[in-house]
Amino acid sequence: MSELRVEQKVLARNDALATANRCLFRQAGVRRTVNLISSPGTGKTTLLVATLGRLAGRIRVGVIEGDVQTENDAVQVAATGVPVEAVVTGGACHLDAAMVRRAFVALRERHPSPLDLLVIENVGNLVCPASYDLGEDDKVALVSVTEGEDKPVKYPALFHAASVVVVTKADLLPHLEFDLDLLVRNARSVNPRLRVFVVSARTGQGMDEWVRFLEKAGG
Amino acid sequence: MHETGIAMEVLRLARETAEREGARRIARLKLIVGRWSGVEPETLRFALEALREGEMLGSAAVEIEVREAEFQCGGCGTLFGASGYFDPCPRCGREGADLVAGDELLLEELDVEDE
Repeated sequence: MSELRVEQKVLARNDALATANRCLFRQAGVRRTVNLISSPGTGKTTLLVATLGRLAGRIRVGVIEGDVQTENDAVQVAATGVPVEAVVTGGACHLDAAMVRRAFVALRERHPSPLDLLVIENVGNLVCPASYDLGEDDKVALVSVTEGEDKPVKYPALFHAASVVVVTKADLLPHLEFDLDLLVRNARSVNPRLRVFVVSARTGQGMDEWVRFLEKAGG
Repeated sequence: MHETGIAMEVLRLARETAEREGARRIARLKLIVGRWSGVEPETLRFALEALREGEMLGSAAVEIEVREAEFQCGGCGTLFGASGYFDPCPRCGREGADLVAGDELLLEELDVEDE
């Protein structure tokens, strides 16, 4: 019997693939890649569709849409005319760097012209996506005002890994007893460096600032 | 929730490492799982025990060391353990300390047999 010291990161292979993805994205001209992460129902796809409408004619965007089943979200995005590649994980609760790589390569085969912004919509889940680097510049955690103000302290790993928080459905605030300041305080207690955007895809509130952020180069 | 995928990655890494060293059988594998790694240690153990198979891995004992979180204050540099991310620095009271340990997920060591 002998003892082997291994001391290897279990997700080292994913991390290496994510690093390779960053190179691949840059080669395609991409200046910023965002990875949208939230619970199911927070409004990732609604925000994305509204965002794409505002970016149309300004910058070139590509989208990778993750879902456990169905291509429904990808169909919604495709209706905007933006190139989109669906990833149906078939049960897996998160995207990993290999899935994103395959999807990006497929997207580029169909749309070989350069891109400025790559948006990855992760599977609706606040736990597992936090562990997987996909090659993004920013993990963007979305929370809607119909969820609890304590989401960031209940799911700290995500808010710690994220660099941006988007609070969605802000048009509903007058109808709710939701304490926006408390949410932001909770998020910043987990990660003081978080940038926070408060938006409504329906009314357009806060959308200009969010879109300006996406237009700028990341990394 | 994603512990099954992680368990498969652990077993792949263990098998490759043992094969490279010319081992025939893994008697024990030891993991370090940080409290804030996003991985539930007992779920991971269950997945590893359910998925281990074959001569190389079928009888491998699973040992998991849970590493507690350690934080460092960005203001005064004090190191401290905490129950969450939300504890202010015990020395200067500043919030938002950096996590310096406790988010790792490592295959630490293997006991292997050559015959």
